[in-house]
Amino acid sequence: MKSGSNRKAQNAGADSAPRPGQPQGSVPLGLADTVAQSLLHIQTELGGSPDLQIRRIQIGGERRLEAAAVHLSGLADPAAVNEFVLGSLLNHTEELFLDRTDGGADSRGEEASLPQQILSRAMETGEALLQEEWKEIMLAILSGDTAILLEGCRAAILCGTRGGEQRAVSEPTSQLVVRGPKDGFVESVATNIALIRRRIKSAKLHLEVLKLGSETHTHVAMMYMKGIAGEDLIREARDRLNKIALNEILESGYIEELIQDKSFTPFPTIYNTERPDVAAGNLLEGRVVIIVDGTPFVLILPAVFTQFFQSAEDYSQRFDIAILMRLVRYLSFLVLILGPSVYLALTTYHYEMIPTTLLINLLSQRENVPFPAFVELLLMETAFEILREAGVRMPRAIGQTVSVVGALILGTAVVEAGIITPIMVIVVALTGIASFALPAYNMAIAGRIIRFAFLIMASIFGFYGITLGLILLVAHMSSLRSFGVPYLFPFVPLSIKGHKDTLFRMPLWLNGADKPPAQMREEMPDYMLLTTGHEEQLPPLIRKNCRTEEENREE
Amino acid sequence: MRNRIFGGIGVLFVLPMLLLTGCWDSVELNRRAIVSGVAIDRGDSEAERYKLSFQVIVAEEISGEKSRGISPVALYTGTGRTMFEALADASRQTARFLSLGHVRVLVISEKFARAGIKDLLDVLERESDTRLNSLIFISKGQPAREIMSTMTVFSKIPANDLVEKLETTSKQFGYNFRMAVDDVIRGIQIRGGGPVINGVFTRGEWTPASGSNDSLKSIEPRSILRVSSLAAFKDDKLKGWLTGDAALGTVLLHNRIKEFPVLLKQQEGGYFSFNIYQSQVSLAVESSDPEHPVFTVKITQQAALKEAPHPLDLTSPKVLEELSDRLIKESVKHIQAAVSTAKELGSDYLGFGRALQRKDPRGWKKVRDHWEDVFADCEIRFDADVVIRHTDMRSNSFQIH
Amino acid sequence: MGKVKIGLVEFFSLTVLFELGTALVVNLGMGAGRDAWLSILLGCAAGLMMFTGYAYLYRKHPNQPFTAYTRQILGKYIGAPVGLVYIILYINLAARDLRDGSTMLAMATMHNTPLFILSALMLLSGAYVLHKGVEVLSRTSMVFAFVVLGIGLFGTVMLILSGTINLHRLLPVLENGFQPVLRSVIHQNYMFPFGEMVCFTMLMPYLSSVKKGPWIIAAAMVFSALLLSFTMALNVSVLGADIVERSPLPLMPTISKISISDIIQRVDIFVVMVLIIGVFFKMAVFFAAALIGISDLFKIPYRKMLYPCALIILFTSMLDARSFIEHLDEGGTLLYRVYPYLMIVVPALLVIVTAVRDHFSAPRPG
Repeated sequence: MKSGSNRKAQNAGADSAPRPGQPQGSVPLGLADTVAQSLLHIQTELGGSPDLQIRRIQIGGERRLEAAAVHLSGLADPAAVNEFVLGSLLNHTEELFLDRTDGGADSRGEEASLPQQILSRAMETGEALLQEEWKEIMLAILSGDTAILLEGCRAAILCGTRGGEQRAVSEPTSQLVVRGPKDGFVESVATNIALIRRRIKSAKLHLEVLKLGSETHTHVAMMYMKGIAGEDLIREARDRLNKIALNEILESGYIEELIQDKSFTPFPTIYNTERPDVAAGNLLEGRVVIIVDGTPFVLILPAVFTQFFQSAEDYSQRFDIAILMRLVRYLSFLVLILGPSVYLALTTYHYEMIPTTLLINLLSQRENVPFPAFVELLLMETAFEILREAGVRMPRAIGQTVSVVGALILGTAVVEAGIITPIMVIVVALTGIASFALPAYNMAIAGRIIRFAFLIMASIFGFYGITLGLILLVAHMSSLRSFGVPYLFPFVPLSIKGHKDTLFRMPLWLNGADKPPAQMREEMPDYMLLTTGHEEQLPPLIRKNCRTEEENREE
Repeated sequence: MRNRIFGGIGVLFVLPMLLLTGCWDSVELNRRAIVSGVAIDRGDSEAERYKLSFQVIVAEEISGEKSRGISPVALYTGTGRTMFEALADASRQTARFLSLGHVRVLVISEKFARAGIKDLLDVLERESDTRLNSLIFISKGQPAREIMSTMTVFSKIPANDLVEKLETTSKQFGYNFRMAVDDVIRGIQIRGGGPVINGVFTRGEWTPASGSNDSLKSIEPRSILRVSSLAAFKDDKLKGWLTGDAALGTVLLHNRIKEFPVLLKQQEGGYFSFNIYQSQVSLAVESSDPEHPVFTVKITQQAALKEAPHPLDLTSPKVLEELSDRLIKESVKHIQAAVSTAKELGSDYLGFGRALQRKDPRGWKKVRDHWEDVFADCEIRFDADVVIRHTDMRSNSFQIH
Repeated sequence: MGKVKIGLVEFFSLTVLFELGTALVVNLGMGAGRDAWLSILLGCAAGLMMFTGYAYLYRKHPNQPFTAYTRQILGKYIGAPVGLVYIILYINLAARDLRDGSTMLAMATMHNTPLFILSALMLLSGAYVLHKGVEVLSRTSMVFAFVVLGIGLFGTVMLILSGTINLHRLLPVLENGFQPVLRSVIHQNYMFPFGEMVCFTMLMPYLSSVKKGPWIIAAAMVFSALLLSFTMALNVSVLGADIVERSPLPLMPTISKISISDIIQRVDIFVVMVLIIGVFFKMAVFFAAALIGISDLFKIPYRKMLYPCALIILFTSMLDARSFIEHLDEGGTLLYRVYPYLMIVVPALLVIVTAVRDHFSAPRPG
């Protein structure tokens, strides 16, 4: 949290510094008595931006009152602005003023009630409120709302007209399934909430919305099932979100990085998904979902290791097939991290283990190859990483061609030129394909990094290095926690009950339809339920487990 | 934070050092010369006490694309006063590390075996690279290196060919069985007995030409490796060769045979053929007097009629009963032959002593020092049961009508 | 020791891995010849009796490690030096175990790698895991207990399929009577590996349940004794008593006898893996015991002494002996002459003192 506090300090500094474009005069920007003055202030604040749409009107029929509707074009829904805001102002205010013929427009008692009356009697928009705070008004305009300024009134009516161009709900691009729902989250937080609500029509589904980021003011929604998600988990998540002090939040990754338990690990400890069905399922299992405006990727926490091997499709397919697919995924993770290193250890250290016939084959392949096996592997793995990166970044039309052409042509050419042994290409290709078999992309990346560590260990120490590496890896993983839940749960600590949906997916009828969904934190004995991340709340010994805290104290 | 930076820098320094100087045990595959078989001969002088010939696989010739048409294996010979010195001597001749991890065959010359093999076995079990599963052969009547330098038809690597031949004979119609290094070591430790090791020899005269591809160019190869006979040892010295009934009986007593053919002669001339399978032989001991133990050999076998070119009524249980009785006699004959040969050679390689030890360890202690003598005149009884399960796809022969 | 607790299942697996340690791969109890399996079981029985004493002390002081309650029972001036002696014992045991492991590794596969590098790598890994905490060590042990059991199961099944097991080689049982078995128990088996459980007196305060904890550990001891006994019986039935007796690592040749149609062959590298895992966890437990002792006795934070202690262990292990033979000989002497005092006599004294005090301080009925 150290970096957070630093940033906070910077923010404070930034706030106090004069802004460019702001008049150096002593008059602070704010709502003024006259509409013209207020508009000027708004324009100054936004630096005279041309997308600021100001519509000056006169309302109240004969008793004309100066008014203005302000919104940002593109952000606001033009139809809503035209029809409901301007329409109601121009059409319905007349009678309002007629009713008030007895009183003078300039009498001070009525000034406050006029906007109130407009609000309650004229406005046709569903969302409208009276706001006096300058900052809030500006934020509303920047979010796409329309502000209505009235002559002689130091408050503005804010109408919810957010809209503008948005991507339609479409099939998610990252987590594809053969069978299952095809809708995916979009960039709009409201749509995303709706997508989840549509699946869980329960009053227990609670929603909390925060605005984070001192510049971006991003809407961050936190959803959970009241009564299913543990209270302390919700509190913990809320606390951590509230402690975020960052100027900009453009993607859920920003938040993920700041609220995860431990920063120094390749493993993701928070799950992300683009699929509403996955989010809904996790909500029902007692997890907390965090939706960030501006990204279709939604965070799910706490996340344990096994979760990254689950795919939405597991629940659409028969359980036996699902079990098989899961096992294949775990296997492919093993192949991914150990494949090249085991090959290296076998050929350079433990050749006696290779069946004789195969050994002769390998030997004849290696006969005229210039590089040692380790260098060869490193070269090929790097080349493969480049190919993969190129394939991702390329425009979609040629991206696939590049990866196919790259893999096939390069692989063949390199073998034919006698630079690399064919078996090496097989090994590298296998690990590459294995990394694609994992349903979670971030887990695949973690595996790819770890693979290189194992490669080095194997090149120096053979199987000894691999075994020690495995011990270290498991130790590292079991020291990880995600919001207090041990990362390797339910393997370590072992929970038979928790194994309903990890290595195997038990059939639904076995889980029992009436039983509440698995709640990880409740299945664990108390002494394991230690949360991390907040120094004050930490039990003394866990603090030692949490690296960041310790370093803070040391410094 | 500072700690982590220092840690990171430390790793950055140590890692290249390890990568550059490390990899102590790492040997690239193309730096290895894989040995498939070793021949052990006795040289003439003391400096050539051991003469080791290593059959090294030339992998490129076997599966490479750029083969030069040379021999798929190469033989390197080293000599020395010890096995290790001979190995070192041979390594100096090869460009690569002689790697013993894939040695599948060890051939010891008969001359060597007669002088005693215990010294060479020590290095075989001590060295961590060699495997206990390597098969041991004794080259019958010729130097072991000739066996290792005979070109074979079915496998490009002669050592593998030898292994396959042994496996085929042990599964079908042969009395040879897998005899690995540890079996031999255990065999040597049998008090008053010794191991039994497979014999191998070349059929047809061995000439230097047998080691070239030319030998295989004719339909009938000039020399063929043949796995046959059993070398019977007393302690670590070769005492004699077992063939025929004696060899078969020996293997039966070791329970190492899967199936074998038995012929019964018919009075009218001609033979019956049986295939015996699922043969179980066990030893029971009665040792009220350890000096004169009485062994009972229990035999249970199953037989299938394979050939019956006679007008005999094979549908009658009586006839089959009669045939089984004759089969029993045949089995007893095999084992009797084995026992009498063993007694002649003065070596209990059949495991009678072990059986006594298991049954009556105290009695065994009294006789173990002169077990040879006790064995020579112990009494052996038989309790055999052979069943002819079926007569295969026909009942009576067509000759019956 | 604060709030960190270790669950029962994790403790079980940690105990099992600790017991298996190096014992699984060495020729344990071969002083008894082919009856080694029997002497292991007897050794376990003796070890269990010793453990009853440790468990008694633990029940009396459920929140204190051994070094803490010695001070409480014997007083500060006697208790503290006794505690110090135990810390030295644990460091010594960790160092010996490290030396065992790295030498065996060098004998088995890494012929040319310097012993120092092998030891240092193992120790650094241990230090990393302990840096994460004893709790993490115990959790990691669970995964690897499954790995070891898996390898064991694989090996056994493969040996059966290869047809190399000959139960006749286990006969006759007790050929030379009971004496060799007893001698082997007295010289080795009750101490190694069962007496070494004394270091669990340092870890037991972490147990999550005072009531069930000791039972779980005892069950783990019995379980590992059965495994060890089974393994030795397997070794003998595959190789014969004599070869096993002469092999420092008999499990390796045993497993190397596996040969399934030339595809699965020479899988003895799995044994090396078991060796590494066993040595690692055994050493880590001793290491942890020493660290807990140091932090308890000198009131130094646990992590501060981690790397100094690692260095001490590393150099003790390197300077321990010139050769493995010397090392083993020294170990035999220590096992027979020194360890019994620390593993039996001192705990027994503590038990007696506690029991007597309890007896007199307890309110008399009536």
